[in-house]
Amino acid sequence: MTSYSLNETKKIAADFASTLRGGETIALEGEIGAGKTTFTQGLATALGAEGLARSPTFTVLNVYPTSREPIKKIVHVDAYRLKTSEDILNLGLEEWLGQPDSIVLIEWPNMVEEVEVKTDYVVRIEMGELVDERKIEIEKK
Amino acid sequence: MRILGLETSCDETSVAVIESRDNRSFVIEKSLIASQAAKHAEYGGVIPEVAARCHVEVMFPLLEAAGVSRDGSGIDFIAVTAGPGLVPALRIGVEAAKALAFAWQKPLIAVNHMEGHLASVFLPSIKEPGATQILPELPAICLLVSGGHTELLLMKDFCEYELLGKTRDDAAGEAFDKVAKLLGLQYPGGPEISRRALSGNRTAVNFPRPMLDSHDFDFSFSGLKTAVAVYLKANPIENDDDINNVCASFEQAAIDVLVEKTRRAVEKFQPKSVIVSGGVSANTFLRQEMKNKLSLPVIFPFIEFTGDNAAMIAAAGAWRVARNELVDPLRVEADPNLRLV
Repeated sequence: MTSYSLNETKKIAADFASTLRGGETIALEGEIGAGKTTFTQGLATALGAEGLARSPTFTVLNVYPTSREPIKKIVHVDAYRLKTSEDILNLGLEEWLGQPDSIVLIEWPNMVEEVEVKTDYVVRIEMGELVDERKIEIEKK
Repeated sequence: MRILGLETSCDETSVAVIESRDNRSFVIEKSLIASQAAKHAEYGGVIPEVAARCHVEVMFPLLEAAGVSRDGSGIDFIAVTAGPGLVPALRIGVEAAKALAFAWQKPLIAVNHMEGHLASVFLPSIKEPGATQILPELPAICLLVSGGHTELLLMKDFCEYELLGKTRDDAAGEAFDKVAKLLGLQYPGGPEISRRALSGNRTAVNFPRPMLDSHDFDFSFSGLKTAVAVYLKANPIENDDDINNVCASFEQAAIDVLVEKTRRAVEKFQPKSVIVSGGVSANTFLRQEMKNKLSLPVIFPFIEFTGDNAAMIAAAGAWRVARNELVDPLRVEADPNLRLV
């Protein structure tokens, strides 16, 4: 899929969100500026999150309460500042991974070796030829 | 009153003991921040050098190094960051504070990390003990700007706030860090960009000033970050001058937005002063531009308190004690989404 704007990226994410049932773990890959957080904003809004999803680069992990049952929260992780697999494990993600009322979304910028977190989907975003162009691929694992 | 402060909201573990005379005047008896204390000869070894967020390993060494007595004698209140922040990190501080409050039978205050940053401008300097301190007059317009937050608030009085606006995506500090990464600069990127900007041309590249003209007090730095990424793809760096120019032009764009939005808030609300705090408030160019472009007092924390620290948490704790806002040590929990307003 190709997106030519922030809103189109959000629309693609919203369409994807409508297929989620709760308990999924989604890996989000792309370089700085690709649109990982924008995608997450589209997904979170579609699931009824109050307010906008914000970049978790410095907070590491954000939790957004959502209202589209049975999904009650999105756990939005950014691995940008994590260095080792221990860092990921120390986040205590087991509390949320696979829980039917949660969606876990992990941003993996192209620099951190992916740790063994069982993912259900991988979303890859690549910058295209034109300034606002993005190629978005969603792979079901 | 003597307050023990604990802060573990994200990367840092910090413990402080302060004396509060009133809400505005504090004496810092001890202020320990793990990442710095570990390198200090006096504490090296006692406080191990550990990776960021290893709160469990340094919490008790820090308490010991701070000279906190085993039975809590001499401490009147315990103040701990309850949020916002990273859940597993927050919990270490919160649970330690609860345990101490329970064991010592001392009152506990749950502090909002953002209020801590507001209180940081009231802290005296430890590094330069005689340094002149200018305290803000209230009401004040407050810009809280760090790696994780960018918010504009109206502080009507202690503990009375109105949220005017915040970032819709990336915080300003994050934009600095990511642009530094795009330029291949060493971590921490923010100070490095600032340093190189001094040798660069601030008008070399006309980067966007996102949301500058929006009729609100919200911010957006994601577009600026992406604009730099796109620019670099089209104009690869060839030498140091290129890097310095991008640093200078980017910094100008980011600071322009922060200063202009603050200026408009001042115009609308007519406060007595402006407070700028959080990690990015250490940025020299931001300090300079704020003072040049605003005609009322602009107060910054001393550099040593711009980052996360427990002294500011203890000070914010004092504000809440004055309002008798204590919490039940058996019930308080970390809240990653704790809101100030």
